Amino acid sequence: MLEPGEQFRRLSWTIAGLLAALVPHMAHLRIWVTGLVLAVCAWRLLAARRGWRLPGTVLRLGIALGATAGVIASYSTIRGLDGGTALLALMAALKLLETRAPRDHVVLIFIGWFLCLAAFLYAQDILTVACVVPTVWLLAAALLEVARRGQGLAPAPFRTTGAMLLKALPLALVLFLFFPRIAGSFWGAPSSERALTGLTDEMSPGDISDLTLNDTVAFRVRFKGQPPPPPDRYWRGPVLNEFDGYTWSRGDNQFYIQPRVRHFGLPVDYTVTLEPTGQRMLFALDMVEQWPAAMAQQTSDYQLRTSNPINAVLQYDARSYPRYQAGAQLSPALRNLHLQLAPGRNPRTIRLAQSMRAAADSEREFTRSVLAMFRDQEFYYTLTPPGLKRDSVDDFLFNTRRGFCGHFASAFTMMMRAAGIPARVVAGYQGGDWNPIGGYLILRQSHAHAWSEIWLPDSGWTRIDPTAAVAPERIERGLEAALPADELLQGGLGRDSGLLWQAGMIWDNVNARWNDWVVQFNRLRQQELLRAFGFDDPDWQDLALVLGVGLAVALALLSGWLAWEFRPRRTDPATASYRRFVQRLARRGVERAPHEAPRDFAARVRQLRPDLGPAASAITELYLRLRYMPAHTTRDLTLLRGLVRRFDP
Amino acid sequence: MRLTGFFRRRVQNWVRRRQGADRGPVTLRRGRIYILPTSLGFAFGLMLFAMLLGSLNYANNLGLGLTFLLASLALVTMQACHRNLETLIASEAGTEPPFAGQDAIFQLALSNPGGAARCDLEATTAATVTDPVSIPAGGETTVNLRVATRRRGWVVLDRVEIATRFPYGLFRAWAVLHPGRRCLVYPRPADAAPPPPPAPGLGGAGATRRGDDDFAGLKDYHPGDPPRHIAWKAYAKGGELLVKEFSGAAEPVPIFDLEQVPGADLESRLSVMARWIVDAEARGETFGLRLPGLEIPPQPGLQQRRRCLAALAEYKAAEPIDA
Repeated sequence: MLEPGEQFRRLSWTIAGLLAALVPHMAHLRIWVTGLVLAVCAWRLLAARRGWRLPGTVLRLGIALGATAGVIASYSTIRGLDGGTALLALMAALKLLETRAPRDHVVLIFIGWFLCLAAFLYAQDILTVACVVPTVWLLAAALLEVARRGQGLAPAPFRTTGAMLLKALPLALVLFLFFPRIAGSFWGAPSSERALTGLTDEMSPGDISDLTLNDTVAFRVRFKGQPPPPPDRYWRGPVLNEFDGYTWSRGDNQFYIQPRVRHFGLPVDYTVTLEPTGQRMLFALDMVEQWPAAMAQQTSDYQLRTSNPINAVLQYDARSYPRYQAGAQLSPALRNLHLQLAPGRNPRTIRLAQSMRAAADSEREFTRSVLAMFRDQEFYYTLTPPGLKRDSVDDFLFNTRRGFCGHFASAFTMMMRAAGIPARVVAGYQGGDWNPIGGYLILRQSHAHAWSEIWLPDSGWTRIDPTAAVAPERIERGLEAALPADELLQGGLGRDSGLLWQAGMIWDNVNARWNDWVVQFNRLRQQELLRAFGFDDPDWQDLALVLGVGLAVALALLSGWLAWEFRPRRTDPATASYRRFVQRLARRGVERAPHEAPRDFAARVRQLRPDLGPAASAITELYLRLRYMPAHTTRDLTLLRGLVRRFDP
Repeated sequence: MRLTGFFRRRVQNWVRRRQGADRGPVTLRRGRIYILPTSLGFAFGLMLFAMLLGSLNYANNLGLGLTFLLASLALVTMQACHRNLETLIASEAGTEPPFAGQDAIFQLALSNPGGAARCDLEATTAATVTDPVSIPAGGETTVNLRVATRRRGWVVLDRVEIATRFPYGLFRAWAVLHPGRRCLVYPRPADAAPPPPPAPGLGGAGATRRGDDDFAGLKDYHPGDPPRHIAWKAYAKGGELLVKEFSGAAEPVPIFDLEQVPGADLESRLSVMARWIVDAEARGETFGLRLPGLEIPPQPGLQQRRRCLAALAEYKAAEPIDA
């Protein structure tokens, strides 16, 4: 049993490590979980200080059951990442209630490391790493403190552990680079939906303008060759087919046959690095022709859908043709789907559309007249549109007349449907910031956009962007050009300014490289690396060879480093002199035992060789003064050396 | 348990054959340091394996990086643990003979010639573990190996392990020494002993010795002279150790004879004699010892006590036992 002070000290280390491991999880843990863990930590420290008794088995069992029930109630499962993490945190708190022996501390430290791993399952960005690395360090230092047994010489935990981690880095690097990566997974990836900002499968008025204030990166695109011009940069996301009069949603369209697509002109090849969305879709430039088939399937409305939510950074290659013709034929079922209107909703819009259609000669002319209405009448493109009533399109067209891309797309699509033209809303991203430092395109949440697709017999599905009619600058030059200056300032969007802009681009480039080389370091990258080492067609045997050799080299280096640290130091001159004195006596048969203190030895010399007594005493006292007294002078050393030189038994 | 004991003995015998007996100071070189993971180390390995599976499953490179960093840390601590013993010098540092029932203490001197501190070292025998000690760079320390004794005779310390789990307790490194050191265990002085038989008269086996009554002069000190006879004043003046001699009425001097101790059990009779010797020495008396085939002439002092107790300890002693 440890004495209370020592127990408290160890507990402080372990709890500090545990709390640090919880920091990256604070954002998604339910508040009651965090609160409970903090309360238990505080109580346990107090209990250690005051010598309170720890709760008995029954109480602990009760708390364990309660916590598990709480997790199930809050997260509806304990299997997902959120529930699992919460359970791990609660179990750590519970373990604290019975922590006495070093073994219990070790369990807590192990849980801390698991929480670090879980933090990486949530996010793999540089900030998370910057948060986790000190935590790993702190936990290792806590383990050092817990494992310490001697009372005497205490190595500084942080310094010792830091030095060890530094020595471990080369080994870890070799393992990271050459440890074989597997394709696929042993068991299913967690399928919990996570609330992340970004486009979803639904669009209500105001959704996209909210996103516009968000500067977070949605994805980055590196082109092979020239990037397409800004008006062609439409990144297709969720296609919204169903309208309930207020909200557009994806609807259930998996049973329809996909209308054929014909591609023209030159393809664009590119690599997308998608940040986690929590959604099941990939973004691609219209119209995508190639994508990793194992990753996603294309629906009848040309979206790329994945089977699992994207909860980690994902990288994929794709090929698109900006010139295409999609769906020369439209099946009656699809036609009906795209003409559907919410019964009884937005009646004024329907009447307006029908009268405008009657006035127009053709569908194309009708389309042009609707766009002309947006352009010529008093419609405003604004980041802060007013809220809309239940019949959102009526309210927008006849009342507020101020809207963002979503409002225009919604109104336009509805008018098309009311006039008998199959139409749908497409959400996605448009444009992008070019990063000249890294040579790639950044798509932010603020590039979120919504447009319309209508089906015309001669051209198939045709993209119409009503926003372009109201604010053509939005499409040509981006949002900043399209909005009035005072709104930009309010939205904090004035980011095109000199140094700050450049710093932002450099930081984004660092993040992009991080994604490319660390987060997305996969089998292909590994093979590239091996090719750089001179293997033409690297297989797993070459990988094993390089891994083995790399580990051997790293271990040899480590061994040498440690040998250098432990090398015998040059003895100080006083000790050297004293040693000579001992050796001279040994030659005359007076040997100093290893355990004999200098003064004891001198006493023995006096006894055995009274003639040498005075000299031996003087040498011993000088030596002791030089070694252990702070106030010795260089004269003492000269004196000691002289005495030893003249000492001749 | 019996199986592990069997294997442990096999391994110990193998180590013994491999290293041979040790004489004098031993430097712990690479060849005699063994290292294995502790149960904590195995648990750590298990944790790493779980982390590896999880990271591979989710193709999470940073998780893999964390796993590899911790694995490398374990490898580094293995090296550090090994290094914590390497080049230490272990040497004998005296023993103190105990009475049966007390602990025999074998002192072991450890010195650290290296330029880094050695932490949490412990010395273990089959039965005991010392408290962990640390030695600063270039320093040395002495550990006391306590061995419980039950009976008189020789105790042999044939196997000592110097072990460490520093730094994280994931590995245990140890070196085996075979010092073959012996320590004599005196018979336990009996708690209740009859008074020693009166010394025989002048003509008996006892001899006439100096009395304590009258100061007769000074003579040179010889080890074994009673300390209370040392002329401390003369020592303070001249620095020579002198002993006061007394003359007095010739007085009979006891010679403790095993034959004269009643009882049938040899061990309890030896205990009684040990009690007489201890008491006589404590009173500063002169005494002698007679065992069948051995006679120690009367002398006062600690050395006489030691000689007599050793004779008792070795008299018809059982085989030496391993500590």
